[in-house]
Amino acid sequence: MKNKAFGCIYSLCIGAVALAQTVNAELAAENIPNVERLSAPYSENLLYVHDGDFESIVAGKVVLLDVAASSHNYKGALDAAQFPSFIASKRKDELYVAETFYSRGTRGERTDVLTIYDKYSLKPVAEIPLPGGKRGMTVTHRYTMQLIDDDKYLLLFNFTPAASIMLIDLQSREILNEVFIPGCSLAYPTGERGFSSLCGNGSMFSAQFDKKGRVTHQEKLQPFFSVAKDPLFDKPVYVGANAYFPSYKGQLYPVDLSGKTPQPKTPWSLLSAEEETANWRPGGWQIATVDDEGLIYVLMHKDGLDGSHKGGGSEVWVYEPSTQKRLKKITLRNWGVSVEVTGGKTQYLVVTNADMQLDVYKANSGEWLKMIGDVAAMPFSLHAIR
Amino acid sequence: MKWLDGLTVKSSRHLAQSTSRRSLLTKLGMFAVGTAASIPLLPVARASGTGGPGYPGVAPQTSGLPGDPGDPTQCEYWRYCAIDGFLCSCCGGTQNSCPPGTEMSPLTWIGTCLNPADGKNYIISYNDCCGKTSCGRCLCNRNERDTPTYRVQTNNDTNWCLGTESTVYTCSTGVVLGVALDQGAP
Repeated sequence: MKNKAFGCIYSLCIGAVALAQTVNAELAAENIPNVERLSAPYSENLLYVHDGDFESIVAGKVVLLDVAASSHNYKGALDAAQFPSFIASKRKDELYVAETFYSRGTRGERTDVLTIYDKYSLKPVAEIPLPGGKRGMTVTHRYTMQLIDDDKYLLLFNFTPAASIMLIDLQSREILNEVFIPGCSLAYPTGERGFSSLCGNGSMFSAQFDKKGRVTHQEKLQPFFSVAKDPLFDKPVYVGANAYFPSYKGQLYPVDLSGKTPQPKTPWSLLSAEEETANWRPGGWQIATVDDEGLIYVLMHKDGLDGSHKGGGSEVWVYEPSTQKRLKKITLRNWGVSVEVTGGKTQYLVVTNADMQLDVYKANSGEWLKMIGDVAAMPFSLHAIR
Repeated sequence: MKWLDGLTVKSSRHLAQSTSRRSLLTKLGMFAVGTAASIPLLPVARASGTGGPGYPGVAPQTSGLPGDPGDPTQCEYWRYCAIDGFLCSCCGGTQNSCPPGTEMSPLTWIGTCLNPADGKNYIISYNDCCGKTSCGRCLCNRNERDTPTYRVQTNNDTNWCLGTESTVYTCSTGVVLGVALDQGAP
């Protein structure tokens, strides 16, 4: 009886296999070579993830990641070598990487270059040599390179340790000018065609250019913050032409950068009296960001002290700058290091967590949705399309 | 060197939330720093067999100098209060020397660190060692008195491999320059 039953089951199995073989067509031969190309337009939820991989600084990368997609999140990557800077054009189909190479890998002749990538093939399409071996190298930082005047010009930070800002015309692919900024650092887009830099005495330097790159205006403001008592983070967020600089101890310093002369406004506190007593402070690497509505998101930690300003945080607090009110607190599922909010109809809060993985939350509710893993070794800088 | 990754957490609860076997925290000898109330927050019992602080499988050292306590292969070593990078002590150098074949940067950032042996603050020069690829061992980030890039002499996010044949970063040292006269904030 058992044998009979077994025979029956066996026959069914054979039959099922045969049926499957007849239903599924044979796989067709596939093309070789076969290389993907990104399609236009990019997903509005795309994020550029700049890897600060310390163990591979000479051969880094910037990953293009669609955080909303249910699969195929990782769209591709750009090379980015030796403490590179990255920025994407919003007006043209170009991505920019300022980087440095040596002819023998880690030694030999140094070449600094601005590499221009096509946005869809992700292939380099042009290079602008950067002379003088002076490109500023720092841990991934978006204000080492910025675009101004509808992305016609690019600002690049140099540091040898003499500090300067180079102006590059992206139409003609020429370096137009270099402005020295002694005692100051980085480039914050300012006015019609210019930049500002924060300075070591708590002041700000500012310059404007004409279309040919000639300096038409430059000045240095009086100090407006105390580096000794409460330094400003050098990573502001922009809402329109207003830059908001969080301080180590939780003040927010607005600076109107719409004109040729920066206008620092009265700072206001991110903290209640109780929170100040508990030493809640901003902290992390990319400590703050904005969403499409101009709300400011700040990564916060409790029990802050000297040296905790890069340590990350357990919560993200959301502020409306026009009313100086906090709208909500988002308790993170995992300790956060860097934050960014993607654009589009559904905005996502993306947080680099302490495991160096990316947690994705709904920006409006703070609901944790998923983790996207192993995108980069150290995804410190996150750039939304905005 | 430079950079962040300073995942300084302040409580064991935070730590539990943020730590896993593959956490970057496990690569860093991270701990909250600042005052005498520093709270060591080493993330995991190290795999060195001792269960104590330090990096997995890294043999302990001393500087051999009287009045210079601690282990230069550990992030908690007093000189490293504002260091950021791979500890040269773990990379073929020492707390004040570079590994063979590298070049010590003449330009540096500085920190002011309290020596627990004599209770004095010392100026520490964090000279980077340059010219070979990242050591990858004993990654340590502490940020006492660290300031942003606009006060660059006390900023550890900058690649300080400057004035060297190659700007490629290998590891960081902590060289004593002398006793600090001004022990105030930056």
